[in-house]
Amino acid sequence: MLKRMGLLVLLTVAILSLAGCLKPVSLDAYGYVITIGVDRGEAKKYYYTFALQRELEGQDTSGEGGAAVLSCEGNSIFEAVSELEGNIPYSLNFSRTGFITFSRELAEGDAVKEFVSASLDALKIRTSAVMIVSEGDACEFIDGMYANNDANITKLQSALMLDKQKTGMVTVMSISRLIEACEDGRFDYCSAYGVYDAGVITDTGEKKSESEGEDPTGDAERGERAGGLRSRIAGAALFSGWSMTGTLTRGETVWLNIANGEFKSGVVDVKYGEGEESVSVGLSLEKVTRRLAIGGDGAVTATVDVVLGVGVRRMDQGTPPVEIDAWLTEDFARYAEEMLLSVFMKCRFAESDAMRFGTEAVRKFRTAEEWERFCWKERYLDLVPEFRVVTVNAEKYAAEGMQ
Amino acid sequence: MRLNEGRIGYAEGIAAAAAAVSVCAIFSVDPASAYTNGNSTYISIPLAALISLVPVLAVSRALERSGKGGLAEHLECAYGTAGAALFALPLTVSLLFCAARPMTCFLDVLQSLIYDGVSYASLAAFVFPVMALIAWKGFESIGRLALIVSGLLVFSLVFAVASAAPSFETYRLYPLMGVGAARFTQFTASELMFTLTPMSALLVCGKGLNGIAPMRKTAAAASIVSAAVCFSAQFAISLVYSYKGLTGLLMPLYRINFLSLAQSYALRLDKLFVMVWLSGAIVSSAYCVYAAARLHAGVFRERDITPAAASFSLVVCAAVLAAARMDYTAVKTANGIMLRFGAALPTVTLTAALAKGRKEKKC
Amino acid sequence: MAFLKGKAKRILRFDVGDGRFELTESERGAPRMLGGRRDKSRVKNRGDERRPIPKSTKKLRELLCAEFSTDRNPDLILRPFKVGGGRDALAVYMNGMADDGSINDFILRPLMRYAGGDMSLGALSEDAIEIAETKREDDLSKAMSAVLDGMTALFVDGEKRCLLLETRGYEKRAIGPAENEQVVIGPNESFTESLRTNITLIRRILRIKELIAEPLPSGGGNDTDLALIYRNGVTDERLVAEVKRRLDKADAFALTSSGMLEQLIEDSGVSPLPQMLSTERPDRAAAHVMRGRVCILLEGSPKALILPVTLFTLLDSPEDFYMRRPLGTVIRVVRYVGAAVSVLLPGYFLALALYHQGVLSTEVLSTVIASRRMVFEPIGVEMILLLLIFQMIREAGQRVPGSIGQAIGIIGGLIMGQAAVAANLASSVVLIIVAASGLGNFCIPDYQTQIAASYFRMALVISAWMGGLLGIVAALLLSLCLLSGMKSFGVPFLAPFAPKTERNKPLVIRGRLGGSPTDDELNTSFDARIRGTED
Repeated sequence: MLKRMGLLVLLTVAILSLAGCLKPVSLDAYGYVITIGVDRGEAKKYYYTFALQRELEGQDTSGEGGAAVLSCEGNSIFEAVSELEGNIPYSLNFSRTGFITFSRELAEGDAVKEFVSASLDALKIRTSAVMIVSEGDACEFIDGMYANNDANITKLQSALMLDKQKTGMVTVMSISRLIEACEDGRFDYCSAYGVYDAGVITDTGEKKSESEGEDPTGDAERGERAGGLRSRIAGAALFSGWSMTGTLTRGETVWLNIANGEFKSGVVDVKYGEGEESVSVGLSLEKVTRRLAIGGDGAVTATVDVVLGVGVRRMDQGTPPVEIDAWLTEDFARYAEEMLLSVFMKCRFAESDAMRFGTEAVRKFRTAEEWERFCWKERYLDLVPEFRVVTVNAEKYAAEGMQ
Repeated sequence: MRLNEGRIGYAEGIAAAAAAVSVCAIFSVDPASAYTNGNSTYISIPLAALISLVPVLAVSRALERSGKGGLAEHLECAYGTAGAALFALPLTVSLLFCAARPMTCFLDVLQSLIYDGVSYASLAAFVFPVMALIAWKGFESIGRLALIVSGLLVFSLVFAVASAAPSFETYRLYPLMGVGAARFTQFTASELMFTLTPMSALLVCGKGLNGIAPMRKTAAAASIVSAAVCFSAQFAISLVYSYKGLTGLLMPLYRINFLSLAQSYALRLDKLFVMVWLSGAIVSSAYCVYAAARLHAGVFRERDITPAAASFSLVVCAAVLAAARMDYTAVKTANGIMLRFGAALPTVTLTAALAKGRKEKKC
Repeated sequence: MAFLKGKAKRILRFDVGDGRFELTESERGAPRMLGGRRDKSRVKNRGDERRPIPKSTKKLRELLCAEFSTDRNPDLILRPFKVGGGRDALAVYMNGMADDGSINDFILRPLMRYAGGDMSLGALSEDAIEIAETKREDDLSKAMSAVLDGMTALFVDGEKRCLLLETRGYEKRAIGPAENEQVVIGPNESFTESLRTNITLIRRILRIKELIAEPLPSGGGNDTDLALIYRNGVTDERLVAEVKRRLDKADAFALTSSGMLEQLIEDSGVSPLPQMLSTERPDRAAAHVMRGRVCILLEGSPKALILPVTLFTLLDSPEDFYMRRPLGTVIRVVRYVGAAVSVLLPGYFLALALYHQGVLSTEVLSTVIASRRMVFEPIGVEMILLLLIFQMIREAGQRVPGSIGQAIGIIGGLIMGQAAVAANLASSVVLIIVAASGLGNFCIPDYQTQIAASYFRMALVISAWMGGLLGIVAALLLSLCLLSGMKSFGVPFLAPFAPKTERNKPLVIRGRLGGSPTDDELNTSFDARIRGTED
């Protein structure tokens, strides 16, 4: 019995030795990249920027702030990472990357495809990471996001995107949706479009004179934006396949989200009547019904029925006039239809099926072969859908809009 | 006699069989054949699980008529040792393949997505000794472990699916059943390899289930449970990924909540869930290895299951390590043949058992 | 080559001869994992050791002087006297074990003054001796055992038998509170070292006629007494027979504690988990006896052994049933969570820290990194070191008596922990993990199970260090595999969860009081295979 036990112990030790450790790396041997920025490089093909979360102990969040920004040029991200890791006392870990920012110049080319197809699995980047296209340089955009020294940059990221999504002015889609869009061909990707505004006076902004204090409001001149981040989301970037082909403003993005059924609530400013008066109309999306038909000749027709909850939040003159309800029901509904069509046409002009009519078209086919033979992208360019908007519950949403 | 059969009840038997069928069916899917030209796996796989019940019930009747408690004894009585060995060989091969295939998938995922730069052999050294020990300990241990693990399996599956629910879109299902009737039938038939084989293992371990009648009930319940589990998993996958996206994915269930944008901690538990599913796969593999060893021991009238269990565990380990080297043409070819035509193997054995059992013959 | 093959076969038990393992699985447990012979020992026939009593008291006296070495061992008192001034008699008792006053007043004086004509043992017992409990014995060995136990043996010249008289009067500890199994609600009595007192404590709670307290020899070289307590007609007879068989087989140089007895009769000596419950509470023992378990009490040991047990029995506390059902459920859930945290948390954290950092949130990552900035040792070493130190503080606190022991716990825990963090020997996060794990460990009611949980915890930490979550999965499956194969006197250790029994009572949630009087898993011991439905 003892001999057998000894043999078992020996076998166990031998197997464990064979297994060895599976290359453990302590968590403090990594720097965790939260955001990646990709720009056109000068000496090499690309210029990569990495924002890392600094370690913070206890409740003390003062001092250097949350983000450490590193950058390096390289013909690929692997080259840039290798180069950087030679100069830093840790390895870069991409398992917590939440944002990937491309400059507009690169987004309009093939850089996105090159990056996504090579890098995601190799660097263990989760495909739930969000892509942002920056109007200017991605590194500037990243700098503007983290310059205010917020301690927890993950929470900042989350707030930046998800809070803004609640206003309906931002469209947020993950890289996995981009991959799906490009592989399936049923819709086109639409990412957030960011801008960097150097004119924003922040609490860490440069002082204009010795006598200026740390108060950005006090430092700002009349008309200047004061406080907050220098980087902001300015709308949506339209993609056709892997390349960016157009943009939408924040106001237009609202209508895009309504058409896609992803709008929760928000506010739009509309001109009322024939005067200069503007009305802030609170919106909430009740229902969206999309119908698409494919004729015998392959012609595609579509209708989109939208039920919008509307309510007046604010008028210039104060109290809304009595006839505002009728205006909300009829004129505003027509306005909404025009906006939806206008945004659709803009998307179509950019050859981007951002309103995802392809996801309706695919339901009309019985086999995958038929669908793939149909060449949806070509048919889409001839589509002119009909938008029908019905507004409801003016009083209710007026109250809700005030919340 | 050290056949380590023990005695287990309904709950353990159902858990063992259902876990084996579910794990084999869900994690052994070959993306190239399953998702090319459409996705019908959420119908094919559960259907295969239900269809596999029919031959098992038919053979159980044959066992009752022959008065033998297990498939091995029935074959040995009907055909003699040589004949029984011949007819048992296909089922043995398919059991070992069902033991190896899910492990291959999991080790692929571990090596490429979870553990950086670690060799296959190092990962296998953690997994296969455990599998071998469980198979060695016998049917009782397998049943009880399966009961413990199946609860975790179901919970993790439900949690993964629920966390991915915000990403569900029905358009990804379309074209509905877009593969066409011929390919649907072909794929369902090939999936029988992974459903019929673990169900046939119940016939081998009939004595451990306290007789043929309880074994029949266990098989029926396991078939229904595994069909439900497979449907839930595959349907959720189909709502998250379209067929084109699935063609290139290694383990879609692992990435099912990658589309979700929230920063919740619950959405970062995918690695933990993979480990839960891996434990289910280890228990399932041990179940298949034990059944193969029990079949071997029954056919050759061996008293001790240890040599067969140890040898088959080594064979499975070697097969998995060989599969890691898919650049070997022979390995690739063998794998392809098994995936397409492997369902014929358990069918041969069950047909042989059924053929002799049609006459009322007491051995 | 043939020699090596033969040797390998023998070591690994591949060549089992005909009939060697026949019926093993259908009898008392499967063979051990690496083989081994089936235990065929039978109950010894105690009649083989009978010794007749010499009729002559003079001869008897010489015999006893020689056997007990009275020239060097003055404890054995041999008091010769004459019954009624006529017949020779000899009173034998142990100094200090027997009560001198009872012997003088109720044995010697009435016998010496006896005036009756009939001087047979029966007549003396009925007419002269004023002791409540008497027993006739014709086996000298048993008579001497009784004397060593504190009884007085009365030998009368010419008689082949003797009278054993209950005169036990040795010093014993008073019944005190249970120090190691404290409850907030419930009785506070605990067992003492006296077997008689302990049996009485149980009988006070279970005043039922089917309660059997069967005395048995313990099997130790010191020949202490042992009692087997069970409910006649409720407890499985085969369980009682198996317990007796194992007790009879038990052979130790000296059996001074129930812990030693436990090691001699348990199913698996290498398993870290106990297969019997050791308790110092009579109410707990009585509750288990009432449910169909067997209780073993040993003279000189203040602990009772309850068997068979399952893992869930070891995690139960008597207090669960003294509280109202919702509160009992909450406490149970907390206990199970605590036990799980104790075993799993350190390993899980280590796995995430070394292999799967992506699972942790950014805030936790940053905090852990910042706290480990100046710690020189790897996180695995730090974790193991802190776990060991925690165990050392715990052991030190238990060994040192009274309030100093409590102070050591406080000083060790708080001050040393703070100092370790300040000296960069440990990080605060890992310290919190270890402390939480330790607290969870204390939630487990049974001391041996606590130690076993520490053992599993360390194994999981090492597995996590080697393989991350994969290592933990491998270690957990191995442990569960071994647990699922374990039995306690025929009852599977993970019953009623695996295997599922027909138990109607909930497991973690506390069931209603009343209902089924026994636990269903106890009736599944020595199951259908024994009941005659074998292959």
